[in-house]
Amino acid sequence: MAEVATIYRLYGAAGDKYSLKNKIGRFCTQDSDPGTNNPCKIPPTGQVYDSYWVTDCLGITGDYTQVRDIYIHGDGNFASDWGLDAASGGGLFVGVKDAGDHGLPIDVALHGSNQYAQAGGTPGTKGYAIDDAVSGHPYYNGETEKIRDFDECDAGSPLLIDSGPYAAGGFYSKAWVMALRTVPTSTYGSKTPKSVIVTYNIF
Amino acid sequence: MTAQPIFRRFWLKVLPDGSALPQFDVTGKDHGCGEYEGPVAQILFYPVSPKLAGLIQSHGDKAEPSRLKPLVFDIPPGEYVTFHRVGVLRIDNIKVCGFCGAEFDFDERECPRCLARLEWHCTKCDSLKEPLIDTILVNSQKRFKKIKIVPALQKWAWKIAENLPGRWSFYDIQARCPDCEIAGDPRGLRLVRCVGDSGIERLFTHYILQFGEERHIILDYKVLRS
Repeated sequence: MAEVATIYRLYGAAGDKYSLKNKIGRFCTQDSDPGTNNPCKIPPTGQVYDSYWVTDCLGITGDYTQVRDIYIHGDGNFASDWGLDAASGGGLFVGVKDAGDHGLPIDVALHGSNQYAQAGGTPGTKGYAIDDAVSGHPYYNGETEKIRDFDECDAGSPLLIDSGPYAAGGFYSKAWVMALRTVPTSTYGSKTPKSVIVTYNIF
Repeated sequence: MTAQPIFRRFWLKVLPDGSALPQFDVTGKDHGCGEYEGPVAQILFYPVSPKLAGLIQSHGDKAEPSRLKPLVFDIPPGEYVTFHRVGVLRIDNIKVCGFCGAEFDFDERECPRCLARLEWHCTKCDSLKEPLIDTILVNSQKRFKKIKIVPALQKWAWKIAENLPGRWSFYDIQARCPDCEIAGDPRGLRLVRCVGDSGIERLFTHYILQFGEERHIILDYKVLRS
């Protein structure tokens, strides 16, 4: 059988993987099932709020010879379609490395190490920013760039998450870590659905 | 529904000795692009027939018969060839009917099969009502005001608010009973959620074939252009 592909979200202290199949991968201010509890907040004047960061990965099972070159991209319009006010610093951001794959190793056997870090913050209000020097994501907050506006990662310049390669037998890819940043001029209310698109080469 | 490639066309590698290696063998079993990476003289693409679709499906794969155009690529002798499939996976939001279980487009307001939709209940009248909806806006001084937006544009309320003078933002909506309003006893309505939001994984695939100076992208689906 050809491959079966699934996107997983990791959360909890151990970073257990939960399929996003039949779910909506919302951004929120809690580290748990991405439902409608604890939605993102608009900060008071002079402040910036981040959602809890989310850690997602690709899982593939089935028959293939090799899978490699796993990228993610969006349509380049998250900030404008969600009223995040990019000009004032709002937007959807993804953790990036200064060199190599931007994905987060989450499996010692597959990736050489497990760098998963549980999202934290003040539930119901805001999460720690990925790029925060003290409480941020330890795999990214020491880099030069640290985070990138995901609107820069469109189909023309997708973000390399995991170059692989993975041999037959099934695998979880390295993960991408994202957070939603709101500023006082971001707009309230539920947002229109949008997709993060994952591509991979299969042989 | 699992995210698997849906095969609508299949490839066939013709080797320099004239023998052929098809993607699907006589039982319908899939053989990946990478199983054989030796020299080839041609790579051909043919649409999946109804019979082949059935064989492919018997192995747990997904296939649909199609009338996609056959394609022929002649590979010059000794040319280095790279050929692989690309998977494009996305989760799209959909609506799910709480009554009949139908899945339908996220932008639709009611179930196309049983016509279920979000309903509003008035506890005083004890019946479902077509609500009067006010959209509540807030500005940076935490002042609030109500405006009326037609139901079809409600999902863009935040965008409409942004375009009003005074730096207004969408805050919430208020749904009230029209009959109680006429009777001079305005009352809010309770939302009865008959359809829910969900996500569906969709996997699209195409092939990349490169040799010499040529790079071909072969879609495994038909793009509809309006």
